[in-house]
Amino acid sequence: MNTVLLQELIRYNNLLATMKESLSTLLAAMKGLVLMNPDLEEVATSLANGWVPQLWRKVRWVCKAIASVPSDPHRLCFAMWCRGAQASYPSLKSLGSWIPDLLARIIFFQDWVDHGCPPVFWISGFFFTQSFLTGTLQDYARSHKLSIDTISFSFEVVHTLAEDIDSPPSDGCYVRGLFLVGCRWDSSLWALEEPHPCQLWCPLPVLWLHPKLTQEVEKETNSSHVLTCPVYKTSERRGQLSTTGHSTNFVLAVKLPMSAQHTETHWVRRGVALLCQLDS
Amino acid sequence: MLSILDNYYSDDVLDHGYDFVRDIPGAYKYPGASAGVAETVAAVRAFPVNDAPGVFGLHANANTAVALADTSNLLNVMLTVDSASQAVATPTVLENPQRRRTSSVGDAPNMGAGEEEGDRARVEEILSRLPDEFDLKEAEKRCVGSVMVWCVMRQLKLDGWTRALGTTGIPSSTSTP
Repeated sequence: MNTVLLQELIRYNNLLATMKESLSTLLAAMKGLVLMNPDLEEVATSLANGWVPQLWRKVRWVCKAIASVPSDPHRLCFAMWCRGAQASYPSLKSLGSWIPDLLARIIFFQDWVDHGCPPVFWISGFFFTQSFLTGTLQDYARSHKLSIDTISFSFEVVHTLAEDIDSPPSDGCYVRGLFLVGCRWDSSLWALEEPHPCQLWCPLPVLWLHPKLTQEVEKETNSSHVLTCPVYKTSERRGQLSTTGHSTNFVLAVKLPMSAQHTETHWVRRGVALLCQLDS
Repeated sequence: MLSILDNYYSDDVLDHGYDFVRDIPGAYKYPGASAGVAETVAAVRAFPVNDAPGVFGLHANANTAVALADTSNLLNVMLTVDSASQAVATPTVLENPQRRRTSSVGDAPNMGAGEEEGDRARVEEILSRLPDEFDLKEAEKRCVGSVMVWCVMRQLKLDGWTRALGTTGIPSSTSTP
């Protein structure tokens, strides 16, 4: 998990460096100290219109940050990954909500650095969410001396509020920050239900990602009435297959309990999905 | 797609009065195999002019979501058009860098001076809100430290078990996890 943390920090450092550099240069250009160029014009126009500049979305990864991590064993692999990656984390937010979201992400990671692993992870905060999930599986595989290929996640919606959880689970991790779209979470039934009129999304309570043997997970799934619900990073619900073999938008499929009156087909037609972040 | 087609390619379709869209009872009703041409045409003409989201199995809230998306698109187009018209009306900074320079120092008052001040204030505000970059060396040191603590704790735990098992006479080599 420490490797995941360090890689995330490097990604955020690159983004912050790009933002600071472009804003400082733009400021100098506005004062007439340097010449404007098309990239800076685009940044200025986007800021005036409340959009996130393309220059920030398409961060050109600089690997100099990696040089400052002297003993990272995955430095070379990660440097190669950085050169291949082009975009920052996907988001459909406008500038007004994108900046507070970025600051919240940085606070989350700074808190992680200062106080160690949080009891509940904010899943929306990760640049590369899949690496966090793989890290969780790896931790479990190592501690139980199992092959990572033989384990997968079992999912449990937790009754306790995120604020009241002060210790991590025995295995796996708790995650928060997911939003249900196309349905709502009924706390009395503890299952998916039809949304209220004009309710476009609903926050999902804390979810426990519990690694187990794949056979056990399959047995549990077959014996329970659950919906296989896709988790996406944004409401775009589509992405590209990246060189890591992961989608740029799809994260994983989560099993959520349904009430007896509904079938999986019903919720598929409703277009139910979990989103890591909203558009606003 | 298969889930939606289930409504239309089903044996139940042959039943009299089958509802193609169960969410809107009666709106998309099958007139029945015994219905004549005129009756079938009348039934088809009675279908709602604008399809409700339920036709695709969606909740009625989908209309609200579409309206919001349309409004957002419209506002974005308006902003783009507005920016484009401003660009046509006045030479861009790239075409005439001197214009911006002059207005920024305030030597020659012009129409864009206030707007430029606003732009500059916006950039300065964002810059001031951006935090410092993460100290990677410090973070790595702490991560390594926490791993070392975990290893020491694990070793202590193992030693404890070994001692406990030693007193019971069980060979430690077979019981070490």
